[in-house]
Amino acid sequence: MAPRPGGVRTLDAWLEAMRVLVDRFVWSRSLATARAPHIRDRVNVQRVLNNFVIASLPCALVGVWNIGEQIHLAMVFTGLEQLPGWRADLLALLGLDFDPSSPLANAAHGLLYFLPVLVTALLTGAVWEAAFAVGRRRPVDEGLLSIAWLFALILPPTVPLYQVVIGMTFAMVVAKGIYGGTGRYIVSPPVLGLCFLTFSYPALLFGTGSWIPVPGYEEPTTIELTVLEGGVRALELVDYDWWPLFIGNQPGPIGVTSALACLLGALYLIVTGSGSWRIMAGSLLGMVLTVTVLNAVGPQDDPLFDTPWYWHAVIGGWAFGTVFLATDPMAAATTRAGRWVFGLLVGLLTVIVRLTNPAYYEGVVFAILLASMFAPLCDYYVVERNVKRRKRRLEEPVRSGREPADA
Amino acid sequence: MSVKETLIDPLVNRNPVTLQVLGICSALAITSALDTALIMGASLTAVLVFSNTMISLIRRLIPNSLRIIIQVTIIASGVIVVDQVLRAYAPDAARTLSVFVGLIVTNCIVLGRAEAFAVKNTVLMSLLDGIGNGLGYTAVLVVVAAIRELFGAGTLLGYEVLPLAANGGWYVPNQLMLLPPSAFFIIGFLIWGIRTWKKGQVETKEFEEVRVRPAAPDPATLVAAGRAAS
Repeated sequence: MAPRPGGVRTLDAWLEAMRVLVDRFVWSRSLATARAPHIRDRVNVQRVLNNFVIASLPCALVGVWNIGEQIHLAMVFTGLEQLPGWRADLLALLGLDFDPSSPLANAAHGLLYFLPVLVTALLTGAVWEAAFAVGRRRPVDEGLLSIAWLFALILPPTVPLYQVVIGMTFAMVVAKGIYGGTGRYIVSPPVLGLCFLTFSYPALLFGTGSWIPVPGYEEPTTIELTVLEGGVRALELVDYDWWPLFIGNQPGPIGVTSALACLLGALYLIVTGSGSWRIMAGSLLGMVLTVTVLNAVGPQDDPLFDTPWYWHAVIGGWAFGTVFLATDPMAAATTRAGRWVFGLLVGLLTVIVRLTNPAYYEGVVFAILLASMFAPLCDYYVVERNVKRRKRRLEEPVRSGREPADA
Repeated sequence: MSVKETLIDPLVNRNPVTLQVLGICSALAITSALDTALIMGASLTAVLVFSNTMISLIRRLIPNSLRIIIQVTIIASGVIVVDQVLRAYAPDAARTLSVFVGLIVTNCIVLGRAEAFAVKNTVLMSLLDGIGNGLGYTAVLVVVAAIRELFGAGTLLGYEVLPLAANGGWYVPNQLMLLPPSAFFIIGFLIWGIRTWKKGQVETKEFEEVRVRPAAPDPATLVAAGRAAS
C-alpha cells in the first residue's frame, strides 16, 4: 500500500509494517511461482521448528507459575519458612517471599527451576550439534532450540542437571545425529530422550518425590493418583476439580500440566500450518473412542476403567504430547490419511498404556514412539492406495461421463 | 591363512559379533553382569573349540547331504557336557545363565564356524579358529557387560567401583543398563567405534548420497521471473 500523507500515513505504515512482520514471522505467503521451482513463501525448516517453541510459550508460562505455586503451597502445608539452596537466596535478593497468592513470586520461583534445565539442555545439544557438524563436515542443523526447549518442558522440576545432560545426549546422538540429523530422524528426539531417562531413572518420572522440590514433601501426580489409587474418585478425594487441572494447577513436569495452554499452542500451530491438525484431531478422536469403549466394556466397578475421557485429557502428558511432540514434522506421518491413522494410534496407545501398565503409566511417551515406528507404514499404504486408484482410472477412463477429479 | 591370522583376526578384524552380527541374542541376554558374561564366553569358547576340532577331524568322512545334522549333533554333545560341568562346579552361575547355556546349540557362531571353516581346514587351524572366535565373542561380551554392570549397578564382578548413592556415595545407577535393550545401544556404539577405526569394515553404500544444493536464489526474483515467463 502506498503511503499517504498526514496522520493516516503513520498508522497505515505501522499497520503495514506489523502485517509484514507477522507475515514474515509466522505466516505463509500466498505468492506462488508459476513454474518450478515452486517457491511459495519464506517459511523454512528453522521457522517451522521455532513455531513449536513459540506455540509452547503458554505452557512454559503456566508451568513456571504452577511450579512456584506448588512449592509455596507445600511450604505453607509443611510449615516451612525457608528453603535451602541458591534459589531461595536469589528470591530473597529480589525481594520476593514464598507467597502462594503472588503470581510474580510463583513465576520467579518456577523460572529458577526451568532455566537451569533449559540452559543445560541447550548447551549439551549445542556441543553434540557442533560435534556432528564438524565430524560430518556439514552445516549445523536447524531445530536445536525446539528440541532443547521441548525436552526441558517435559522434565520434572527436580531433575538433576547431569541427568538432563545424559537425556539430551541420548536425544541428540541416538535419536537425531546417527540418522543424519534434522529431516532424517525417525523418532522425535525429545521423546526418545525422555524415554531414556524414564527407563534409566524410573524414580525420577514415576515417583512422588520429584514433582515438588520441597524437602520432606512428597506428592503424587494426578495421573499417578488416577492409575494407582483408583480413578477420578482418588482425585476428588484430595480435592482436585476439573477446571484447575485443565488450567494446569497440578504437580507434574515443568511445562506439561496445562491442557489449556496446550490448546492455545495447538491453535497457533494449526493457524501457522506448522503442526498437523489431523494428527491432533486423530489423537483426540483415538483417545475419546478408546476411553468410551473401555468405559462401556471394561471391567465393572474398576474406577480406573470408568475414568471419563475429559479427565484423561487433563491429567498426565496426553495434551502436551499430542500437540507438540506427536506433531514433530519429521517423525510423524506425512500423508493426510496417514496422519489421521498416526494420530489415532497415539490416542489409542496412550490410553491402553495408562490403563494396563501400572509401572510405566505415562503412556503418551511410548504411544508417540510406537506410532512413529508405524508412520512410514501408514504413509506407504496411503501412497499404494493412491497408485492403485490412479492406475484403475487409467484403465477405465471417464466412466461417469465427466472428468475425474484429480487426487 | 596363517596361524596368526586365524587366531588374531576374529578379535577385531573379523569379530563374529560386531562384524558378522552373530550371537547377538545371548550378547543381549547375559551381559547384565560381568561374571555371567565371562562364564558364558568361556562356555561358548569351549563348545566352539570342541566342535571345530571334532568336525575338522571327521571332515572327510561326513557325507555332504548329512553334514548339518552331524554338526549339530556334535555341537549339542559339547553343549550338554559344558552344561553338566557348570551345574556340577558352578551351580550359581548355571542358575543365572539358565537356558542360555543350552541355547549355545543354536548360537550361529558355532554352526557358522563349523560350516565356514572346520569342514575345509586342518584340525590345528580349526582349533585355533575356535579359540580365536571364542575369544572374539568373549571380548565383546566382556566389554558390554563391564559397561552395563558398571553403570547399571556401580559394580564390577560384584565389587562396588562407583560408590552408590544408596550407600552414601554419589552414583545413582542407570537402571536402563540392567535391561537387555541397553546392550543393543552399546553393541551399536561398539560397531560404530570399530568401523570408525577400521574403515574396511564399513559396508558399501546402497545408494549415492546427493550433495546439498547451494542456497536457493532470492524468492522475489524467482517470483518475478516466473511471472515474466508466464
